[in-house]
This record gives sequence, structure tokens and C-alpha cells, in this order.
Amino acid sequence: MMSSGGYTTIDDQKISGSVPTFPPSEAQGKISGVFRPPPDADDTFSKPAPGSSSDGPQTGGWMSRLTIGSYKPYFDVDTSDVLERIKDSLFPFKATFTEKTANNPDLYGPFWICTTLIFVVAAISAFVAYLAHKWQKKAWDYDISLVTWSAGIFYGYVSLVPLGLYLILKYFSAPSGLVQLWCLYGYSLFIFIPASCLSVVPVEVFRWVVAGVAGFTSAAFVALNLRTHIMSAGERWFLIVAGIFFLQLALAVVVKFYFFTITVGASSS
Amino acid sequence: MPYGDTIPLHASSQSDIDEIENLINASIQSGPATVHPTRPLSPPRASIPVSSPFVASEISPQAYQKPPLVPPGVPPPASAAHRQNVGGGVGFGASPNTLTEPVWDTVKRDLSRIISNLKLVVFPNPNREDPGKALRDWDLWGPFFFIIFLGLTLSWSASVKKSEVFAVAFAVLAAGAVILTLNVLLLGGHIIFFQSLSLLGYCLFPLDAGAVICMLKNNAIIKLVVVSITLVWSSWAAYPFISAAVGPRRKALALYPVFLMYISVGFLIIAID
Repeated sequence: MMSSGGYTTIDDQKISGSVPTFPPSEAQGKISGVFRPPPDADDTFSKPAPGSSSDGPQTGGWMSRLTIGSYKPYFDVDTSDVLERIKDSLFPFKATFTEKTANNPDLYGPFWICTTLIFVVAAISAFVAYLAHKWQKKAWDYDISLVTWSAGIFYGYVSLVPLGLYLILKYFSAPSGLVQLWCLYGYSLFIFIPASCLSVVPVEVFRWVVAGVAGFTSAAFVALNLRTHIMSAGERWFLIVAGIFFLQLALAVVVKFYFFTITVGASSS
Repeated sequence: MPYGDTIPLHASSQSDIDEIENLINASIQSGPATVHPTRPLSPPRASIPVSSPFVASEISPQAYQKPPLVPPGVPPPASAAHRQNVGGGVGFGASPNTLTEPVWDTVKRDLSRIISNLKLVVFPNPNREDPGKALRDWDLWGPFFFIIFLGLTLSWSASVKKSEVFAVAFAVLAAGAVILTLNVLLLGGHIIFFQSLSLLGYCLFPLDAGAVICMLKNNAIIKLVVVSITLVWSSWAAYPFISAAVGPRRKALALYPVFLMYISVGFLIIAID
């Protein structure tokens, strides 16, 4: 007979010619006639899409994107993986990042590095402005638009530039995975965090040097990791790589200029 | 439906089930049984109690009237009615009262729940190591109140762009709680979405207190000290819950964003003067 859940099979047909009762009669008098998950089951039973066993690929394409389960593969990293990828981003000339993340690109790193960077830039630039005003004995009010602008710049850069690059590469028939590009750009922003911390030093030249080094490292990281791949795009590959490089450099300059150049007395940042 | 929880049954829930059994057995034997609400507190978790008061109030007069007229020859309808009664709401004897009770009673009940949750989450108590027990009776009123209060305090303290400050604070806290919960879920952790939102909201209480102190005392050193202390306190409150939810190799990945959010809120408190 069929056995379902925790029921015992009804082997002997005492009831001749009739369908086996469901729920079985021994369940009467106890409310627990309905199947419940075993008491040591975890909370995944209560969630709609608990991972690979979910109906991700089977249901319609756009509906599956609304479940958590369809994004879980992009967060399948451990602490040690993330730390290793961050360390890789600090040494651009090895150019091994894309190989390492080709099979397991993650979105955890990009998102949280970006968010941390937004907060760090807003905080340090506020601190720098506060110090500058204090030394000149001027009043200073915290400008909350620093936070919103830095969020806009960084989130916008990390989401839109890889998207543009993805489309361009597709056009030049050298397609690269979009998530890999997001991963690469996200990790490339990591170097701006220590650079922002160093920008506390009130020497203007030092700040420009720090911004330049950070921008150069970050741009080299992105460009070198994509170079081998883009070379297959045809004669225009150098243009694309150079474009990527200078775009990243421009980001560093904009950040330095908007957040870390303080003019006291005029309408403060 | 409430029995879809996979957390081990709370003591009161087990007694609910026994109570239901007793009711059904009793109704089969004799006339109406009095239904004692197992918890004189809130209506059942995660169910929509809207229909049950009406259902209960419609059926209960009949159930009470029927058995004197018809002897236990009609146990099935009566038991069905009882089953429907108690299935609709565990403490259905209390449900009609929650509609007709004085407003102060409702407010007092919610306030006492907020305070008891606060004591469980934020202050040291023996239940902290077991996240399942710690916030069994979660609610969202407490977190809502704390977030709004923090936004308002920051907005009051700000000298320029007050409404923007409130908007940023509220957005960061609300979206932050949702994103942090999603982060844990995406990393393969096991938490209940709203329970986690509730917990992250309750852990804001120390920062609320810090914000009020900073609003009153505008000295930079005091602000720094107060905010650091309340920051550590908030993080300590949230730590066991989050760390129990994910596997050991990803604990730092799940905890770091929590610290980041509280540090950024702390920074906002210091910076806004």
C-alpha cells in the first residue's frame, strides 16, 4: 500500500472492497493527524524557495527571479574566499582574479564593499570638513547630502559601468558574463577604502597622490584582468581596455575632488 | 497554519493542543465546555484573526443553545462547531474581547509585549543563547517605534535639512534591516524574516538612548564616548542571534554588515549636531 509521511501501511484489507481510510483511523482523537515536519527541521520549511531544490528554473523565467533561491548561487562564498578575493584586488599585476572567480562569481563582495565605501567616504569627508572648519574657527554643519551623493555615485558606477561594458563586449562578439563583471568591478573598489582613510591627512598634495595611486591600482586591476579576454574582440580591443582604465581613473579623481577637497568659508560641501 | 513553525513548540502551544483535544472529547460526551483562553494575551501568531471573532461569535451562541435541546445525539455538528471555533482562534474566548475591550487595555498589552521583548533582547538574561526562545513573541511595533524615534531625534538635533536627515535615517534603518535579513538568507542561513526584522529593530534601543543623550549634551567627547558604548551594546545584543543563524565559515560575512549598519548610525548620531 502507499505509505505517506509517518503513517503505517495498511496491509491487511479488513474493510473489503473499500478505499483505505484517509487519514487513518488511528489518528482520530489527536489533532496531529496532519503531517508536520519533524521537530528538528530547520526554518527552510517555512520559506518559499529554500535553495537548489526550489522550482527556480522550471517556473517562468521572470517569476523565478523574484525568489531568494535564484540568487543564492551568487552568495555561495565563505569568509576565507571573500578575504582572498579582496587581497587579490590589491595586486593588480597578477591578473589572476578573473580565472579564480570565473566559476563562482559572488555578489556579496561587490555589494558590501560598495556599501562600506559609501559609508567610509561620507564619514571621512565629513570628518575632514569638520577638522578644516574647526582649525579655521568656522561653524560647520553636517551636510547629509554627502551620504546620498556618495551612495548615488558608487552604486551607480558599480551597477551601470559593468552593464555598459557587457553590452559593448556583446556587440564586439566577445561576451563576458555580467555577474563576473559586477564581481570584478565591485572588488576593484576595495582599494578606495584605505585610500579614503589615508585622505584624513590634511596635506593637499598627499591627498592627490593617494587618490592617484588608488585610482591607478584600481584601474589597472580592472583593465589587466579583462585584457586577455577583450583581446579576442578584434582590433578595437585596445580602445576598450584604455577606456575602462581611464573611466576608473576618472572615478578616483571625481571622488577626490567632490569629497576630499574642502573649501572653508564658501558654501561648505 | 500557526503550526507551520518548526521551532520546538512553546509550552503554551502544547497546552493549546491538549486543550483542543479535551474540548472535542468533552463535547462528544456532554454539553458545552467552557473555553478558557490559554493565553490571556495577544491573539494567535501569524494568523488573520479578523474572521474568527465573527465566526466565533456567530457559532458560540448556537453551540451553547443546541446541546440543551438536542442531547449528545448530535455530537458531530457540535464537535464540528467547536472544532471550527477553536480552529479559528486558539484563544477565541478572548478574541471578541479584543474588539470590545478598552483601548487602554490593548495599548497596555502591546506595551508590555514590547517591554518584555526588549528585556529579552537587549538586556542580559539566561535565554539569550537560544535565539529560538529569545524572541518567540516577536512583534513589529517595537522596532517601528524605535526607528521612528531615532529618526525624529536625529532630525531634532540637526540644524539644517531636518527632513532630509529624517529621511536618510529612516531609509538606512528600515532598508538596512531588510537587507541584512536578506543577506543572511542568501548566505544560506536559517532565520525567519520578520523575526529578524523585529530583532534588529529592538537592538536599536541602546542607540536611541545614545541619540537622546547626544541631543541633550552637545560636547564632542561625550558624544563619542556615549555613542561608542551604545554601539557596542547594540552589536552585543544582535550578535548571538545572527551568529546562530549561519554556518561557522560564514559567520563573519553575516555579522560584518550588522556592525556596519550600527556604526554608520552611530556616526550619524555623532555628526548631526
